[in-house]
Amino acid sequence: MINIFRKLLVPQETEYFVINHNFIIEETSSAVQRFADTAGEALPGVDARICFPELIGVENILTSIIIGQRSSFQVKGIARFTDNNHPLYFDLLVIEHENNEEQEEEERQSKLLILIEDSTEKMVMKQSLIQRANEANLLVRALEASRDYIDKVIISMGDALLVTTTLGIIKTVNQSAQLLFGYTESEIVEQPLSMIVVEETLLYQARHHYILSQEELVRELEVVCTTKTGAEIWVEFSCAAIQTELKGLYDFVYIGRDVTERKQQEIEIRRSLAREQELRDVKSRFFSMLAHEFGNPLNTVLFSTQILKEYGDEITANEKKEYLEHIQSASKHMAQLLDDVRLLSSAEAGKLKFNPTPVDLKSFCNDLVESIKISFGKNHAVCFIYRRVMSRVRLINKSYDESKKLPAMDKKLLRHILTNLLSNGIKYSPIDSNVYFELHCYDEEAIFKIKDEGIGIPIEDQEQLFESYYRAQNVGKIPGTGLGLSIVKQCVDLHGGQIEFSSETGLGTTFIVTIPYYKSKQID
Amino acid sequence: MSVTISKKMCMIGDFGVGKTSMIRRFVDRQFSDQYLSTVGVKISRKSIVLENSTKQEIVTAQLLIWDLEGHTKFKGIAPTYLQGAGGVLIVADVSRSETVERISEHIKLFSSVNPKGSIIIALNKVDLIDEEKLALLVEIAHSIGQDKVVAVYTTSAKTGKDVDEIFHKLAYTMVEQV
Repeated sequence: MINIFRKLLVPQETEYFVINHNFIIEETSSAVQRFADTAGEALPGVDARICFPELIGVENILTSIIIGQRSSFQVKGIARFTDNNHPLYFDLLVIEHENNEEQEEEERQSKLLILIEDSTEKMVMKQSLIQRANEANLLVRALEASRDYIDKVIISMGDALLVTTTLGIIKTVNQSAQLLFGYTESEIVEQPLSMIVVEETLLYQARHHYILSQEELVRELEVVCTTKTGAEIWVEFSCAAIQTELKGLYDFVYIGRDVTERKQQEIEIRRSLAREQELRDVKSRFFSMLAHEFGNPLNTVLFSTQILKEYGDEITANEKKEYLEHIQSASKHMAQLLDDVRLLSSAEAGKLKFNPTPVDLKSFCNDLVESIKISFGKNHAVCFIYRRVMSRVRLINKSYDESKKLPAMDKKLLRHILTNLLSNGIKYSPIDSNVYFELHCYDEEAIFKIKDEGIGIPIEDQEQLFESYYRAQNVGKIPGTGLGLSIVKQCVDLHGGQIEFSSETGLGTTFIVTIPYYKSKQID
Repeated sequence: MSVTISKKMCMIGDFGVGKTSMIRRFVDRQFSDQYLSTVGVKISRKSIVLENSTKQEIVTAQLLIWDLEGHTKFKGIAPTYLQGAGGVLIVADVSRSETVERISEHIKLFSSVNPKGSIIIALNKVDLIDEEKLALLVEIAHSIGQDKVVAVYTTSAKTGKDVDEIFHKLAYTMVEQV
């Protein structure tokens, strides 16, 4: 090696060794051993491939350099250490050995110069950079995979998912939520939760309660929601709070399931149960009525027939007649009761026919009042007042003949209505009191007002007043079946009319029945 | 009679797939979960005895295992390192499907430098995924490798599964070529 070459290599910390065509080391620089593999020392006379295994496998390449077919072979960044705390890296460059001019011709060929440059500093720096880049890359990839996985889970969820801010502004929705509420993602995101949840205040309170008290969030909540089309649906939400990157600031996750069907079933079941209860009540009231109302007349009949049978020969003809009248009256009473029961059951079964015919209401009511007076009103005054209220059009058109325009109503049903209300008024009023019956005939409807000064209906009974066999608590010993008002209600309903009442216990009751005239059957 | 054949083989694949860990398991019988990225190249030696019943001689293969810096999206594998290699283990991480997908690129690179070199695929880190997913990945690897690949192994440097087997297989294949 020429001196000048050695001088050039020293400052760059480059080591070298020379090998012959059999890869045997012929010459080395002083510190080349530092880069040699532990398997062997880099000494002249040794096969270079033992201490530099990088040369194994590339013998063909080395030979091609020797014979001048290739200029060089380079391997960069070779690591030669076992302890990570003491790294050693080098670059290896194989070139043809420039022989000394003075050497013999045969010695001038077939030699290679292997230059070794310490690259530890550069490689350590590179390792640190790559390490960080790769770790970041793996982290990003793991995050992406995890986000992707969560996204897929959210998308494939059958339940609707909504994420809102503390103030209830929607941040995220999944596909199921979009389907459930009918909005697209862009339509719903950034909108307040109140857009879909009718009772948003409920959720708002739940959120604030959580933030203030840090107690368990209301987990299961059934609320009514509206869809884009305006349909109302029941949604069961489970709520959870998630801490955002800012301490004390929460997002809220709602997972909702459409429970409308279940809710409707519940309502239906409740309705059926109520109906069943009602039927049970009716049944129990019916038996109670049966016991009371049939008991007395039956006893009368039994008692009278027994007297007639056992003492028929001993009693006078007048007494006999009296007992027979008792039997007749009790039987009539029972027959009337049976008629009422039959009438109501056929009305409830929808078998009662509405058969309107023209009625002269004034004369109809007059006759009715007279017959009531005979049957019930011996101790009461029944005052009948009739008023004809005409519209302006009719008043102007004087030529209009009113007698030709009789309103159509079902007389039979109307008789049931008025007889029941008037007889009740009398029955539940003290002796010598007044019962007022007003008839107001308008152009399109008639209003019947029956006012008494009787015992009144306690407020707690008013709601159930029209139920069959139901009687107010304050009836005392006044006989009754609890059928009258039910029959009245059914008859008014068949007319398409309305019945209202106002009452005060001890002062009296007023019933107002409004019945529209049956139009298509009006007879001119 | 005994004969020793030295063979250069390379480990290539994406960064972080476990190339260094496989060598460490095979050569040092050790494993560490800590990730330390390889830069440049590190050569490890391991001699294994190959049984050769036909020739009735003991063949020892001295493997020179070149552990190469992994492929990243910024830097590919330098072909210089692959020169003179008799075989290659292309390693992929089964928990990162993109590393499996890139196997074909590595096959292409290695074949371009060493058209006659033996190629074996290692689907590493099988301890991290379930059987069903693995079966699918093996199928994918086979379809990628087709006739260019000697075998596909499912390995785990962590548990040691099939690590020795894959190196032995490659050693046999490389020696057989001689």
